[in-house]
Amino acid sequence: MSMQNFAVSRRALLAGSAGIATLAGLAACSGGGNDDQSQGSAAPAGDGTPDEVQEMNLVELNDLQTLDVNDIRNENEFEVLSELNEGLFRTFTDEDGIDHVEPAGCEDYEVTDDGLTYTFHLRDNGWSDGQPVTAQHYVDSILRLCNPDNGFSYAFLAEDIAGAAAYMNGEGAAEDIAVAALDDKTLEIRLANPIPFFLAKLSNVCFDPVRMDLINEYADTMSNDWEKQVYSGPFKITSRTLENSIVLEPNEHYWDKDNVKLQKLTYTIVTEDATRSQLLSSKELDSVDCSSEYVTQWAKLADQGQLVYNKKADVGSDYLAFNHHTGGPSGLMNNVKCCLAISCCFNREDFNNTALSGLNLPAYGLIPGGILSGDEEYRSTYEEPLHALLEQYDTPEKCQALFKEGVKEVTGSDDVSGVELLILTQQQNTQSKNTTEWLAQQISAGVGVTVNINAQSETANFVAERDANNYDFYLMGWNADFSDPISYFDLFATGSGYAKFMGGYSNAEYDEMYESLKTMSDSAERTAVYQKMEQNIIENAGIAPVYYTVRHNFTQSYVMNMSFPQFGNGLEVSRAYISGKA
Amino acid sequence: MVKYALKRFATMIVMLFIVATATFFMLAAVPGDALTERTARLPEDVAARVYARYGLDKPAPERYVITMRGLVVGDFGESIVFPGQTVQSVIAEKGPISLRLGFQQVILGVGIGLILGVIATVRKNTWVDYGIIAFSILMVSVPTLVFGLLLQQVFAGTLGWFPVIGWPSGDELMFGGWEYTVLPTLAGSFGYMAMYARLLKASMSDVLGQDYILAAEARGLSKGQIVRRHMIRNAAIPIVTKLPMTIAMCLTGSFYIETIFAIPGLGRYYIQAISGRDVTMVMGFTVVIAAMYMVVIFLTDILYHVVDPRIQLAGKTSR
Repeated sequence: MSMQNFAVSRRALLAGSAGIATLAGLAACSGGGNDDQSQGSAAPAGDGTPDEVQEMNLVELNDLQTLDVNDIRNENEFEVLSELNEGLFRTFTDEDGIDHVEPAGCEDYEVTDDGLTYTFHLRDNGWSDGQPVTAQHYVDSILRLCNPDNGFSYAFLAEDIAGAAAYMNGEGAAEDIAVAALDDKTLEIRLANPIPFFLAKLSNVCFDPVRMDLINEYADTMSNDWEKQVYSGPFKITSRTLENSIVLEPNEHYWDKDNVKLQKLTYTIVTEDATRSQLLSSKELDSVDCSSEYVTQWAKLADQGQLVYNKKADVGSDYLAFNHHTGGPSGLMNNVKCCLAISCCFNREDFNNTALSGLNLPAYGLIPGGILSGDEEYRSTYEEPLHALLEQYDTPEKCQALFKEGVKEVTGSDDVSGVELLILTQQQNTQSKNTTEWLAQQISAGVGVTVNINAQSETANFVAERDANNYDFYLMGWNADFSDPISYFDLFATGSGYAKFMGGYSNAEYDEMYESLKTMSDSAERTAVYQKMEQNIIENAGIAPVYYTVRHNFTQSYVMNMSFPQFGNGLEVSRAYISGKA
Repeated sequence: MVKYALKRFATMIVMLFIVATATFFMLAAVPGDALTERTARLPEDVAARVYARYGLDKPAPERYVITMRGLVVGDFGESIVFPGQTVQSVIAEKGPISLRLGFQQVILGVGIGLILGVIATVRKNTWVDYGIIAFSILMVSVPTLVFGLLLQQVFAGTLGWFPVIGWPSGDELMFGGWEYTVLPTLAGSFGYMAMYARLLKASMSDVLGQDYILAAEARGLSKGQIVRRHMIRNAAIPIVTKLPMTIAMCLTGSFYIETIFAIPGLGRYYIQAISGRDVTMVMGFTVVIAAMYMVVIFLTDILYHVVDPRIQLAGKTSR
């Protein structure tokens, strides 16, 4: 899951559908007219022969807060810890940018006919200290993840494992969690319900194996000390300067070490796009994502053949979260008509082109393109539900009339002259300022009332204002944890742990459908329920869709075999190498 | 003198106590804490366990007593955001980096600033003087961030003379790897150049009108002799007393320069700690920095007396 509204965005995991999936064709069929492309110097700088020097430089916005896979929280941690640890699966992309989930820590696996029991056969892999990776290390990881004393953010991903939810709620015991090492190389996991996307969840870094012998020895001092850590993945850390850089070198005990060609991989904290730009120009930075106005500048470099521009639909959805907790300072946000009028009164294409420099895609639904439901791409099964509403409320007059009706239902009077709405925002840069001001102006004109801005510069202050319900609505973003629409629908069930972030939508019909999913394993049935749930939340204006995110990556043309998975670690470099850098 | 030093030392202890107390309660008063986001979507009882682990479940007065007890014995506690890190370990790792960057900036900035100040005074009311003053105003007005990015773009990006980012490490930590230090040193020294050029010019101009300068001229001393023997010496008081504070300031690091050039110094860490509400680290840093400033102010007072014996230390009877 990923909250994009404030702080660092947490790019979520992971991939595939039930089984070792190929997310073939998703990019092409995702909604909203995605124009995924790779442009610029398509021809590689070299002839594909690896250079003698195999060093790669990447950047992060913030330092890692933890090296503990169970405690993983942020996008930067996913990127680095994925290269340091080996889960059961690893995702690569092909030359068309399509995700392929490959067996990694496991060679193969079986699922029982009832869809409840998974048996994984592990391959011979080694920790960086030479110890073999065993099934018990995976078991320990799951038990530790679920331990409520640890309070790990991603523990919820394990809740489908039989006995896990009760243990996490403090009602059960660790011994009751249905996970076992049948022998050193065989791992068995039994589910409470046969959910079809369990493997997609299990591919998250938070399930990667852990070494309890070291965790017990070093306790809390281990989580951020690279010298006390051991690594089961392609690389190990060989030096680290806090809040500055992390250097990785190959793990000689890694099972697939022959395919790891990079000899040195350095992540440096560089926050300024201007500095990143200089690094790109001087070839001191090999690959970077961008969401600012620098996209245009770097795209020109790509046109000149200096960079390769990978533009790809992301799995992020940004929307207005209305304050359903209290109705907001205006008292109107629990009225469907008021929220619906706001949702219909502004032009999403204009918003994307004006406030976001055309870098993303206008959204008319909750679920972005590229998310699978069963084997089908969800967005292609169901037209975005807001389109029909926009046809109904297609003029400012109609929106204003609808808003007035809503106000009358709440206050008894259709006089909106004294009505003021409050939009909360965390303004960290010019773009967030532009987006908020654009929305405030357009919504003000659209429904004919004053829209004030409650701007906070610091995350903590934003959170305080949000928790004090001092807003009518704000722009919120979310990236799916894994490829299933439930990753979004989870957010809006009554009593959800996410309610605090998401405005607190609560609807009995929605909740009933959500509950029915818990024991529903048929993908077609699930898809039909998802469609109704999406219709429910859009028509009742639980949220107002605004845009789907698009990823803009720029990579040097001498970098080969880089993967840009849509889910999971966004920058998979374990098989990448340098050819023709000169 | 000893009595004076003891008295000042006692005052410093009281001041540190006040600074620590004020910092603690200000941090307690601002919204949010280091665990707000991390625990926000955990079940309530699980979140409570996380808070309990870091002691943040206790009421502020109780946390205050625990914190102050730790401060007295030099135990600032562990970072909440970066488990395993302590104030001491961070200062040991990052202190030398900020120290070197700061010293280089001060030496270059103050050195050139003083030279410019002398030239501006000697060539008063000429285009040289006006040029130096214009330069100073420009240097003071343009933010460090802009200088840093500009230097980086021209000398590292376009011309490729220096690395874009980085800082010497290992054997070169304190001496060597100069190519990494040139741009950050320059970017941070412009402000000092401007400040000291204007300061010296102002104080020398005051001296210029004094009778003893007139007398020196009457004695037939050359302009160079007058500047060296009389003007600089007498104009040095504001410089000498300002300098220790400048050094103290630069040791605490520079957020912008460290951010632009990816330098692993204290400045960025401190700001990040404040922003992330890493209370233990902020408390520790603040107390250490406050102590450093107090020592510097004490030294400055002593320097006043050394530079101009006519200035009496507080507590002594003036004649």
